[in-house]
Amino acid sequence: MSYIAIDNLSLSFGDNKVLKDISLTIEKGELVTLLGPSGCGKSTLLRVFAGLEVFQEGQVFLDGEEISNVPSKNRNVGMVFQSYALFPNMTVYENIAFGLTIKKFSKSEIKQKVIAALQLVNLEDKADFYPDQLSGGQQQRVSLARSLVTEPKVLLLDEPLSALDAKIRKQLQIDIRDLQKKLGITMIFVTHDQEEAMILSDRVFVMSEGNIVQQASPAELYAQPKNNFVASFIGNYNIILADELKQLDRTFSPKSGSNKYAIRSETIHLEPIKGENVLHFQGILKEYTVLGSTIRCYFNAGAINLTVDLLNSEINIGELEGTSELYINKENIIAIDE
Amino acid sequence: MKTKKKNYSSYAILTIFSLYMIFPFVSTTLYAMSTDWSKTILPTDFTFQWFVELIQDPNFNSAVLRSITLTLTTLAVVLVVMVPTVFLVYMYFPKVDSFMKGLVLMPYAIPGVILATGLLRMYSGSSIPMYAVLVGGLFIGSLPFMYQGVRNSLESIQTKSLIEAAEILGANKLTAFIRIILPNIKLGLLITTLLIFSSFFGEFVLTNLLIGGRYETIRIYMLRRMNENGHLASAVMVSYFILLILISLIITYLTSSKRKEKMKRKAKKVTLKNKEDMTITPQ
Repeated sequence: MSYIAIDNLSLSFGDNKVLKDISLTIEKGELVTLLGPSGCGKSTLLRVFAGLEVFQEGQVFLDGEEISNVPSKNRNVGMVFQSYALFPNMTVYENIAFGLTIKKFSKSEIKQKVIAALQLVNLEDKADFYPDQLSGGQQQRVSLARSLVTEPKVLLLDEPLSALDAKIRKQLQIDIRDLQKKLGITMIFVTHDQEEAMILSDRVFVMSEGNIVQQASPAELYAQPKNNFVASFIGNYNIILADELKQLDRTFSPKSGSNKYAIRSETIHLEPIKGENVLHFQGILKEYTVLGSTIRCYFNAGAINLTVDLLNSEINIGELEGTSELYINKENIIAIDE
Repeated sequence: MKTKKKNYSSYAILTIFSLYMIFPFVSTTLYAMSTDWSKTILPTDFTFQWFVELIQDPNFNSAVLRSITLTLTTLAVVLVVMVPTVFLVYMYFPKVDSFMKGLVLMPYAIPGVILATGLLRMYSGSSIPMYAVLVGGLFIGSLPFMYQGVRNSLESIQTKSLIEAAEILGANKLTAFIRIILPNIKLGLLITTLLIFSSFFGEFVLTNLLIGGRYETIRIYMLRRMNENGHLASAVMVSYFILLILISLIITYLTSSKRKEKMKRKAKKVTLKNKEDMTITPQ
């Protein structure tokens, strides 16, 4: 049996069904992400696992034991909140020591563990500070230390980096991943940021309207989106119908049963591609945006709008005015569900 | 060079307002510090005679003591009953909250005289002592301050997240409430308590109608002495007013940003002092 298992779980708030027959498994030491737009049920699923929401149907297992009816205080899970949820009346030291005090560790053990936790998050010199004397990033580090110090079986992180600015967020992403690898702890991370999910995760569960629509490794998810929703949520995919592709190049023959196709923006080229398995057509550049190392170009190919990402170092945007020849390797045209 | 134009009309309005507010207090104080003030602009003499007489009057001291006892008893009941109630409503019965918000405003809608008459009709002659009925009546009067005060305090500290964080760390609800929530709302509670204290300390209508002369509080004492001696009544009024000013100053101090800064500086000093203790290597 997997380390974590959720079987056919459903949850409603009144008439609103928030989680619909969800099943998933997570192995020990994995870092998985629940990814999806606001209101898709990802935080609710995490809170169900923490014992903070009551569900109507299904079962939840942790380390071989059913915990569906175990109160959150007895689940031995850690949780990091988006709002940090640090206790304002306690210093950083007291915040981290809180869980150990409740579990009745001796004073010397508490001191030793708290200091180790502080060193883990590089906040040794902030032990006597109060939460409101720390920056957002520092507060989230304290929250992380407080959750880890009790050595939980699994650490749940509910959009922990959403309230931080971009630079600190990126640093903490790296720190969290390093910590997870160093401690070998199982983590479930909730985010609506696909880039964050890609950086952090071993596996990503993409959620939409209370369902898990796809679960895969970041690379697999990016290369093989299962449907329209995943393709548009994960990357800059061009979603094109079979008939439209045929209009672009008569040599295109649709796969049986597939009417919708996804093409990643970086797989459309301006230079000819060797081989016969290539779709070739013309497009007119309408607009472009410089994104740093890449330039995002918006082409019109007949009635079809296409987004194309080109390497900034390899093209001179001035030469693209007017009509351009566009090439796509047919292997990069992915059939997706409706 | 342009100079900032002085807004004289604003100063004038502010001065008139200040005079309007201060003049009665200054006049009462002067009257309380004189023996004769009838045909002159200012009193002809100054004395502390009435304040001394007041302090030496055993009835005054008893009245102050009774007012304090009544106020503290009521406050104790209000705090013990209302703080957990508001917490439970806020955390676990949010649907009841909107109903409660309306309900606690009822004391504003019912005049004190009607409340007192109702209470007298209901409880006079019953085995319940009127003192307890009075405490109950004052309890109702405190609800608008108490409910909203505690609720605002709970809202300002993200109570739900804090309780959830404490529970996940292994604490039960009671421990979380006592160790996390209460210390974080204590300032709000203290301010609400002081506001209710100042309001109950000078309460007259309910006390006079329900108990009256049988339990002479400071306001009933004031009324009695006013009929005997205006100077003495003014001295009582000034003393009472100074007490209210003191309470206001305490509230202002507790909520001041300077005090918070001072506490933070104190915390930082402790950190620097303890830095050397933080070099223990984890095993």
